[in-house]
Amino acid sequence: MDQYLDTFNDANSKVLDQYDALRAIWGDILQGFSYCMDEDVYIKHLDDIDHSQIAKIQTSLTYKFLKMGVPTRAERLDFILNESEEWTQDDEDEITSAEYFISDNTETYETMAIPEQKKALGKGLQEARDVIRKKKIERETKIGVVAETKAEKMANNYHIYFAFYKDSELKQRMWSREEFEELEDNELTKWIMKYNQETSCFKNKNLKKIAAMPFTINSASYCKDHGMFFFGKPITRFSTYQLGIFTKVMRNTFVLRETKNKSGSPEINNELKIKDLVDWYDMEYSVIIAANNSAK
Amino acid sequence: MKKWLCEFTVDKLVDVNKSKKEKGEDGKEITITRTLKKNQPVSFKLQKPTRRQFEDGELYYAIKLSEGIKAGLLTTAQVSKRYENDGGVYTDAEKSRLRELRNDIAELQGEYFKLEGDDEEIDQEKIRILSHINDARTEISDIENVHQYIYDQTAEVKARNKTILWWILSMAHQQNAKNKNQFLEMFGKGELDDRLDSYDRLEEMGDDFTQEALKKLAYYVSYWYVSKNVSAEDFKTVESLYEQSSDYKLIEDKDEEEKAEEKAEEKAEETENESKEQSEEKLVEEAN
Repeated sequence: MDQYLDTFNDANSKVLDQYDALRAIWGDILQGFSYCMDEDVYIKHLDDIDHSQIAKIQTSLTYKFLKMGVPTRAERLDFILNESEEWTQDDEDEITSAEYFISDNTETYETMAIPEQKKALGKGLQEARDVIRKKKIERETKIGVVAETKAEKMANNYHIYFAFYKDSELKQRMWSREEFEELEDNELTKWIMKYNQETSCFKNKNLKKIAAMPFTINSASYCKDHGMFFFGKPITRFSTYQLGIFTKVMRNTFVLRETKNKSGSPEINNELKIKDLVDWYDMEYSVIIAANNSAK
Repeated sequence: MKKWLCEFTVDKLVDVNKSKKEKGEDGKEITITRTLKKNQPVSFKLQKPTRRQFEDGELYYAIKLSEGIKAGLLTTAQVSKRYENDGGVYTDAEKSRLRELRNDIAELQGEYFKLEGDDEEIDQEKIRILSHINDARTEISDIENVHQYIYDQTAEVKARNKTILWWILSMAHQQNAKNKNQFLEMFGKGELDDRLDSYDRLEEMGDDFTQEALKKLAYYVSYWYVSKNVSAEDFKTVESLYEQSSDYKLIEDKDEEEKAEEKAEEKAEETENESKEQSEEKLVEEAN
């Protein structure tokens, strides 16, 4: 789905071109899982409880590793900075200044109109990203294996354990805990890739578009901002994607109620571009908030 | 179900009973049994590590490295830095010789690439240059290798050696003497300390065969650990490299038949030599 949506350039693409693909993603978000046809398995969209279970695994692994004598990240960083001096403050500053360069210029880059200037700044931003990536890899290599990062890496794998099911009722897990822990590296990698492939369509960019579509806006208007009515369950049991849609669509219904723009929201027709629709909500929201702030 | 990385054998001298039927003084048939020492290859296998074992191995290295540093061992980076501050590990004479050799190589390479044509004289010249380059490179690596020992006591090297031992204790399996198709954990299934005790006992009290098995295991596991992605083909190379360097040779007892065969062979060889000598003498006589 995501690969299909990526073929569109949002600046030129019409709302109706992406409408069905976005509705299909919305369907998966509503039911709380995705079906992976080639493997005949179901991928649960994880919720807060699942995430807290993964956090619990990570915490207990970190504690276990520390008790075993695995060093902490702070210890190792202090060692390579102050004892062996393989890593210096200059190296740290190089990362920080590249990060500042990116945060200071990303917005400018997005709004730049002159192609040559945009190209030059784009090159600079890419170079800064390369510096950060390279320096961070170098730093992590010098730090080596530490309790927190090792635990984080190992706990991350449990996303796969909690997500994959054999049935659409999400009752039969793909593996028992023991079976999962004994999975070979290549098997685990295969399932991680499947997971990433199937869930890549739930990125923020697509959620923003879905939250501006009539099929979500209408439902949100009927349920009068109550999440319980919207998804039929308490907000604490929403999947991450459901929560993402809920907050965005609630903002958009707020915009529709509060806007002073007399022409109202853009009409969805053969001409309306998807970027224009999404931007309208963003713009109107900024106007409403600014007006509210000045009224105070 | 365990998966395996490789299999190798170590020869072991075992007692074999050889029976022979003979007629006794009273003409009755009697069976004489002799116990002979014979070679018997014993198989060992290295288990293909699971994902969990890889994780555990990484953690073990991190712990041992941290322990080493806390105990006061220097890291490789610290040792390098210390020597750099003192002007490096090489003596002045070594430095000057290394400079000389590196310049020679650069010059020889320049000369080599200037040579054009494919007549015999040019080919000879190319061979001469290449052989000089090789000699210079060998001398450079000889000088460099002398100083490798300074890194032997670093925290990383100590941690690496301990981790290799950890892998030996985790991966090594030996053929079950009672069921040849079965391979059992060589150091048991217990906790690390128990397996380490078992290793130490074998190392201290083991016979030649056990010593050889431990040595070969260490060789294989070290190679695998350092090289990472090792294929079945690579393990064949490891086997031949090990065989070249090993001095483990067993002398087995020979039974009557083998002795008789050996004697017959010796006699045949003697006869052949004698007839050769005779014909040579005859030829000399004829020539005279």
